[in-house]
Amino acid sequence: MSFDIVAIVLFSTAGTYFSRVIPFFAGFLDRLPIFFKRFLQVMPVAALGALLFPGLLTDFSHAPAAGLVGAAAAAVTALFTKNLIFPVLASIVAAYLML
Amino acid sequence: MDFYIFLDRAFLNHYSPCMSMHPVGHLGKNPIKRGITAGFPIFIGYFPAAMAFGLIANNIDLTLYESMLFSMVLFAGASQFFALNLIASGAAVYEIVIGIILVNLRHLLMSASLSRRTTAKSIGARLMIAFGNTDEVFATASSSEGPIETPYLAALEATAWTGWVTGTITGFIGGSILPSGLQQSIGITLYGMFAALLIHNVQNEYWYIPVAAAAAGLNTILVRIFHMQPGWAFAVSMILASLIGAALLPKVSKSFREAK
Repeated sequence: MSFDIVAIVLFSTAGTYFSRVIPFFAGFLDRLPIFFKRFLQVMPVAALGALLFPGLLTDFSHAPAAGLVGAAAAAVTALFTKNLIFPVLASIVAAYLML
Repeated sequence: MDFYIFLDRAFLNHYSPCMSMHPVGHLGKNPIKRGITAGFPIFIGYFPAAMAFGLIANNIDLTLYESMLFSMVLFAGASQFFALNLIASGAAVYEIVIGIILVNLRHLLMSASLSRRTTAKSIGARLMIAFGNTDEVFATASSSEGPIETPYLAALEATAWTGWVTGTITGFIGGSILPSGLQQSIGITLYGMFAALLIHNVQNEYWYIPVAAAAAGLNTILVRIFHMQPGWAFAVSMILASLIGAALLPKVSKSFREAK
């Protein structure tokens, strides 16, 4: 096991567990400003946007069309199912056909 | 039964969900059995999502044990996919850790809600049930009536955890036996996953679209024009876009109105 991976898992687990456990012992979180709650609510969606771009364009610089078509296939499939494995499979097949 | 439980719910932020998606057990029944029953739809939803995680982890050359460590210890679906992306892009350890912690800060709100309804009084019980408080566990537990008993919640969490870990192992092993032609195109799966998650989110909240677009645009500018390190660019663009979203858009948010 690589030291870096173990460090990533352990430190991020500590931080994540902190978010999960602190409210069980501290009541102040009920009185957080509403702006901060909105900020926390929207953060995962902002993360998705930043994860998709520019990585989708740069990671497939040898075949950018395959990357875009693969992601588009997943997006379209996701419109029809809440299950994640089907969009993932669709993206593999689409990228495979394009490569 | 409405299978409400897939990984996309990690992003839906049902801080106090009003949907009832599974039969709430009868109160006289053994709470552990009720917890397992309530957790079964989560198991079914987590398993394929975790398979995708195992498959991608294999593809970016993590070992089986490293993948299992992620799923067993961190047990935080969406952020594990973020981690794979940042690892693959060569981000530094501290950048990855900060990114994951930021993405998981939202659990503060869910645990705050859960802590008001739990019957757990002892420190040990609280420490234990906090560990498995994922978005889906929270949504399921919150949909039941009355106080939430510790054995019920622990069984619910254990069922969800088992689905996540066994799915990870299955996906990792499945990735090794795929034909080599297909293996080449597997690099796309991570982006397919992000695209699918984004679609599931904006289907419920159209005002998320400009927020995601702002983050995508900012990240592209920071990485391509300012040549910022990928982990920092990710954190900065996520925080800026979230601030913009929080400031400008939430009055129309359906789930936010429900959460209050």
